Amino acid sequence: MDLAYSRDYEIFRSEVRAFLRQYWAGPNRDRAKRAEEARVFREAAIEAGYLYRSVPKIYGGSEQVVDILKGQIIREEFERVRAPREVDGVGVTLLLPTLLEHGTAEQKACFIPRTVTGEFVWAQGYSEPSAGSDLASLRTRAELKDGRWTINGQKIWSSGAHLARYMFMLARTETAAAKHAGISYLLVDLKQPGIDVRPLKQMTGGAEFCEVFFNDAWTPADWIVGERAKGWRVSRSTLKHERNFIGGVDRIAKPFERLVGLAKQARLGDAPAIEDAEIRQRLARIAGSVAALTYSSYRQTSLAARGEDPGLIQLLFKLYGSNVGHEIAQCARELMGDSFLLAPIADGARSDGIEKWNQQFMGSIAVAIAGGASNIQRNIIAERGLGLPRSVN
Amino acid sequence: MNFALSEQQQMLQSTVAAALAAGFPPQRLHSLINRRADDGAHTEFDGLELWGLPIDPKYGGAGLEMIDAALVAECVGFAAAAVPIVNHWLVAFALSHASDRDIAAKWLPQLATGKLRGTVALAEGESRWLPDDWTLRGDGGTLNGEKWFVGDVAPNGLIVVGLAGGELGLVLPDASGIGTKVLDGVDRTRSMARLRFTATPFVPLGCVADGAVRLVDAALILTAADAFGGARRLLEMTTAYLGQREQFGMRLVQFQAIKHQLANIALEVEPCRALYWYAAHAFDHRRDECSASAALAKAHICDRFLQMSRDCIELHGGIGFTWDYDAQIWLKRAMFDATIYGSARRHRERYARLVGW
Ligand SMILES: Cc1cc2nc3c(=O)[nH]c(=O)nc-3n(C[C@H](O)[C@H](O)[C@H](O)COP(=O)(O)OP(=O)(O)OC[C@H]3O[C@@H](n4cnc5c(N)ncnc54)[C@H](O)[C@@H]3O)c2cc1C
Repeated sequence: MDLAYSRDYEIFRSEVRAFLRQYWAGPNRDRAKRAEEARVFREAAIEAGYLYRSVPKIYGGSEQVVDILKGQIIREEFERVRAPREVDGVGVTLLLPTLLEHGTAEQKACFIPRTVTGEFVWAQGYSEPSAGSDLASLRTRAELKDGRWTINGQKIWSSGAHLARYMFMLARTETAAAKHAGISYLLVDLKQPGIDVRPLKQMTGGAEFCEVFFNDAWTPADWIVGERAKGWRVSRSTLKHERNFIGGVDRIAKPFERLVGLAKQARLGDAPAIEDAEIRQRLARIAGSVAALTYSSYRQTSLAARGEDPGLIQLLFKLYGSNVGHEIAQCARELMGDSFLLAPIADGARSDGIEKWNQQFMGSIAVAIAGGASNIQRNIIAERGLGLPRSVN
Repeated sequence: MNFALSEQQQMLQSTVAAALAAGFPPQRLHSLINRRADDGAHTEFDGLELWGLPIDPKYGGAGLEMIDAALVAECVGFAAAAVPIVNHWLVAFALSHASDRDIAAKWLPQLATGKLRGTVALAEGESRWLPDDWTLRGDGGTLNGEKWFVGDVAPNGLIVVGLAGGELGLVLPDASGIGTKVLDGVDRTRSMARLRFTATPFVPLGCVADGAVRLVDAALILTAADAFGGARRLLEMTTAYLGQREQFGMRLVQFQAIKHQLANIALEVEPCRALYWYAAHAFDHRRDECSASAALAKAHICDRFLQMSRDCIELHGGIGFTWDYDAQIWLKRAMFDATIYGSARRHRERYARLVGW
């Protein structure tokens, strides 16, 4: 056991640092300029081999030999100076791995390069009004006629679909087949007359997910990923990525750091809240969970680097992270005092800005729903992790 | 960067687990808690020659690290084995820090072979577990006063005693003036006594710098590891039992309510593994983080163990509430682990202070 990096890795780290010193001056004060700067920076970082390491060069990646520890060093160093990493969004986190695994050469060439740069923005079209946790019961139909797929039906909760150009979706292509066996994985251009995207206002006030209606919408016959009727399997590899992605330790460790900051800023009685015995207990209790998750991720990373299966722990990350998110929300609420009454980004908000924590209070609920609700995680842990039988409900 | 066990470490755990399973089958544990005659032997475990595991090779030990000791402690917790190894190692840790090197040179080799046994006497009752709390004074080279909850007191063994001012003293074999009162502990897989010292001679250990703190850190880490092992055992036991128990014409594990309860327990238990590993690793390699990590791991894991042991017994139904079923053995170990060396509340407050909140 050794938490230090060997000499070779430390040399690599200093190379990454030197690169960052040369190419990254920190986020621009002028927000308008940030996107363009990030684009230019990413180009250089791909050229240097630091981003999109698992994506072949011909598709715009840096095509590096798999090295989990180098990946970790890059994340640490980029994070330290707040340099942009891979483009955010489901196009990179979900679609990209799926295309790499199941896509044809044409699909890869057509979609990956511009997804990597962020030019192509994607939405995920899985859930439907009557198919959520029971996703395989989805009903949106796609029929192959005249050399193209004709799509009819409705998707819902599709994050960012109003801002996206394309969607990767699951549709029923074989009506006679059993539930899971009749689904295909399709790519669709959202900018067409047969598709109507309607943003749904979220409880936080923003409109970040949408309903998407398909009315004789179409997509080319060869915009199917993987074989026809094999979409369930193709999509499952996507969901696996999503579980790791949402369970990412950063998503827990960062809000916890901010929570400690809030406890230092907020006051209880005459003193900073962090001096209150009860608050210290609560913070330390959460710190135990955050530390357990963080060190478990070190273990997972080390085992993965050795090519060994970390087992049960992998299945726990999503639910564990959701639960810690709930605990952070509850502790924050106590620290917020009267600011809990204010809208998160209220007009005339108080100057200390503490009401923005209402965003975390609500957002942490979404984490427990999106990407497989907590009860579904419990099913997965019980069945795949503990080897228990499938449920009789 | 490698936060996973080496082959040797995996081997260590599997051989220790096998030896303890052979030496402490459930029948023997029940005979221990029923206070039937037990020869106190741990032949299979002795055969592994682990008494000197953390002791410097120059004194005849194996020179392994805290993580290795903790991996063994996890196995002890899993087996609920009545082997006095943890207290013995704590003495070794304390003596390794003695500024008087003659003490180390004299006693460590004997501890390393296991021919001489040792234990620690730290608590004074009323939750006085930690160096700042100790009041026992060693005036004029003798001790007068009491120590509580002392485990594994061996005839003619060494006893490391916590003294006022966070000092440590060593009571040598055959020392006079020690009155021992055996306490009826809730956890009968571990022995416990109150020691009364009356003009008992001792040797000051004169520990370098933070010797008593190091000793307590070690105790916290090994207790956390024990708790993780115990929790693993109870989860395994409960999953197996519910896998064969039938009600409503089905095995109970087929009910989703049961599956979710088991998933929630696994969720709380499994991440504790890396938490105690980290604290153990920090003991040798990240000393500035060690006390905080040890406090956090002890509080977190022993808390989880205590709660999950209640849940597991509830999940068993009536059988789980009986004296003769195995589950109660680990519930009581959880009660012990939660209390020994100080409560979760205490260690969370220490953690808060140590990280500068
Ligand atoms: C912020 C946000 C963003 C999202 N983004 C997207 C997106 O971009 N694309 C997309 O396709 N979807 C998206 N979703 C949808 C998300 O995947 C679904 O909401 C989720 O899978 C749950 O489905 P549902 O909402 O239909 O709830 P339901 O499936 O109806 O579940 C309701 C409740 O019942 C429980 N439950 C369901 N089945 C079982 C069972 N078998 N046993 C026990 N309990 C059960 C669930 O845990 C849940 O608590 C998003 C959701 C949110 C909140």
